Amino acid sequence: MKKLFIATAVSLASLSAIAPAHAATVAGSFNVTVNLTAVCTMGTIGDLAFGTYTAFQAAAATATTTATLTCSRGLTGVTAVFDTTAPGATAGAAATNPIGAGVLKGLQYLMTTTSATTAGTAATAASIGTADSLVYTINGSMPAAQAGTAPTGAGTQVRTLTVTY
Amino acid sequence: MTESLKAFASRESRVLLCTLALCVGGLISSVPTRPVYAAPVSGQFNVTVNLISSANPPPVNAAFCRASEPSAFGALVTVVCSTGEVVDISASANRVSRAPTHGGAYRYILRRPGELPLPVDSFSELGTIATWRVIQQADRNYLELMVGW
Repeated sequence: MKKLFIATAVSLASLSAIAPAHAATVAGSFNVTVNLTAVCTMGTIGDLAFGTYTAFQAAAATATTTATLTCSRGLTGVTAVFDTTAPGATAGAAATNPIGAGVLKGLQYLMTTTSATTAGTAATAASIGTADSLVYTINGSMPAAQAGTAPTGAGTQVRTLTVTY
Repeated sequence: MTESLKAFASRESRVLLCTLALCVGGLISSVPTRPVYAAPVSGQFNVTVNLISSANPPPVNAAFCRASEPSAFGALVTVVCSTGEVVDISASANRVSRAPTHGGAYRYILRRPGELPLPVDSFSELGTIATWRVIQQADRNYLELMVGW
């Protein structure tokens, strides 16, 4: 009887050893890569409208417009420059806040700028984030006491603002 | 035996290729990544102005002139018109009309009693005297006229 009990115990022990054995978890690393090309896009720039200028008027005429750029986040060293292709147009060197000048209807005008950047929000796993916003405010001044060039009436000159980043 | 050599050679080739790939990959990854930027972006805008000659705009072909006010004799007097013409204060040398300029300033030398006659600018043009003044100097007098036409 004792032998039978021992044999049964050994058999049960053997059966328990048949269960499958599993190894530890295995992991593999991989890279996520991308080559980003930073981009800025510029919205439509409104007119730098000086309105009506009376020859020899006592006060300077002023005008303001804005150029809004939507850019990749974190751009540094952004510079801008006005064109010199328009008749009588001049421009300072490319700078953070460019300057320029021109002549329209025989009236000299000067342009200065201020710029401000609003940082966008970073992307997360749940959000694509938002872009940086770069706004150039173009301030125009048409000095007083200018004669102008006839004929009287409205005049328009196309200017260009180029931004390098 | 031959099959064993082929298997060995094949395995060695794979090892060599993998080693080369790792080296090249390592070299590429060791090169500093330069940021890539798109081309500069430009935007055009209009500069506009409406030029008029005065608060009550005259006909298109008219012009509006203004002379600086000399504070002392000998001061430079410049007459600037919205036509862009600059009118000299001296009388025209050739006596011809100054058209298409508008207006002008003229200086005439006046004789004083007992003074020897001097060359006289003798010509006439239609116009309206806007201002005039006599300037007395030690040796001569001047009559300055501002004429508009």
